[in-house]
Amino acid sequence: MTAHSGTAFTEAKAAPHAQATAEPEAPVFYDTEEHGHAEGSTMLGFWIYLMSDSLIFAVLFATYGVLSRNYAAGPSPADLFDLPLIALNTSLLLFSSITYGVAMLEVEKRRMGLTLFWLGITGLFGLGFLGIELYEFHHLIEEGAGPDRSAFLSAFFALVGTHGLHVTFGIVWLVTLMFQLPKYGFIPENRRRLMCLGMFWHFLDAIWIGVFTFVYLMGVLLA
Amino acid sequence: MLIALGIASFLVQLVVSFVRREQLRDVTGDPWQGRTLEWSTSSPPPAYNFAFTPVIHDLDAWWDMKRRGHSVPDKGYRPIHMPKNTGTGVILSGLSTVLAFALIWYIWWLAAASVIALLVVAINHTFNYKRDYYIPAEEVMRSENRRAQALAAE
Amino acid sequence: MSAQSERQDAVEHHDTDAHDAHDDSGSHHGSFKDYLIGFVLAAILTAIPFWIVIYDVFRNPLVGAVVILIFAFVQIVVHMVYFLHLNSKSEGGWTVLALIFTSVLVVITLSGSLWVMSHLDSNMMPMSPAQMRSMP
Repeated sequence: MTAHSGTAFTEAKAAPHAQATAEPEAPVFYDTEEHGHAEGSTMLGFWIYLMSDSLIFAVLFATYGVLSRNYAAGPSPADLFDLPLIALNTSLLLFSSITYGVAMLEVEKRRMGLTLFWLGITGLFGLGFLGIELYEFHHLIEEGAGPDRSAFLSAFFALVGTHGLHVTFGIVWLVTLMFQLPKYGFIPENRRRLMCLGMFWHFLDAIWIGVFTFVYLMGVLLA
Repeated sequence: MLIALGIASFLVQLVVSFVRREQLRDVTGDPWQGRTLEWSTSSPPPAYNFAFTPVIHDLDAWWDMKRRGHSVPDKGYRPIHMPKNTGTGVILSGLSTVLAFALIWYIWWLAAASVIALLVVAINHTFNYKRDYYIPAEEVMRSENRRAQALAAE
Repeated sequence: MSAQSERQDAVEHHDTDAHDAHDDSGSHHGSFKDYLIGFVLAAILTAIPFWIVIYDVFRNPLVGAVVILIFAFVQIVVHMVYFLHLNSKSEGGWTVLALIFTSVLVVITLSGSLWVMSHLDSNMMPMSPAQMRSMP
């Protein structure tokens, strides 16, 4: 590529300035310097997506907050929630966040085997969390406390169910990456994907803090 | 009566425009003295839009450029970074429409099938790592020169 | 500037590792210590609320509710700092700004909904369940 010269050609259009020489102080209208494009804007973009996801959860939380006393003469949180089980759930999710962090440390060291190992453990913790949650939902529905029993329960299933769906997609994403990592290695694209999944995963754990506090703990406390 | 006149005028316009199309044709991309930047490109514009990013100094940027004597650089073309085309977006939209239809009408087997299809297409697309390409500088130059000739001929 | 840097630019596009530091400047990786501290803090901040509720530590449930909400808020901050490595410098401060903006919206949504709906509730005509069921 040659450096650009000083001559320019003018547009022969209906314009009063049609005559051509470039004045030395002409304002710059075209950017001929190479500035490089926004590399690394993906992380901020994904963070903004997470913020928008927070708004979805905020509305679900608000809905639950408004409807949390509408039992329709049905079961209340104290009747339904098994706090030790929820404590177990919470620990599984918290552990999974830690193991994901360890996996990212292994990515920094470019150790494929250990990375995959810790990602796998994270996935297993996630599956454990989902399993317990599905068991809880199944149990509730069996006892006649499904999402159609009362407004409180509809809001409960909507909020906790949405969180569970998010975790499910996170696990699908995790498994996909566990195939793409050994296949393509620690290329920048894969590292970027891992960082985004990490943000997603920690974000879900943060939302869960809100869920277990606002729904389960306060539900039993204020019943 | 008035309406008939209106419709007739419209039809006359269609005919005259068609008959005189060669002499009425515009190749500059700016037939109406436009004020904003979309009028500064050809019609249709090249895939890369602008060979050099325009620098904006005012609201009506193209008007401002015409007023103050802009000139398009004719040298120093660079390869331009472009995204590759993909049909994935359209396919996912189509599948989402099927899913929505199935959910509305309680067609559970179709809903399940479209969810699985959505996942398969999406995951498959993530295996495509070759998402971009560069338009070589020579091609940019050729396209820009063609435009320069068309403008000069006006 | 000119020819040499142009060539350099062209080369850097394909030299992926040169962008390493740049790529990771978005959401930084932490150290193992960070994760450990975060984990211990989060575990404590989880255990205490559960203990408060299961063992009815406060006689007044409202006090308990406020306390566990505070614990939840603190734990979310711990998550943000130790796991998400949130700091005011990442992305030129845009990360924190986006977070603050979102938090404002969330607070408005939550408190606003609860306030408005409870007012609606207290402003409605009192009805018995039988009357409620026979509404159109």
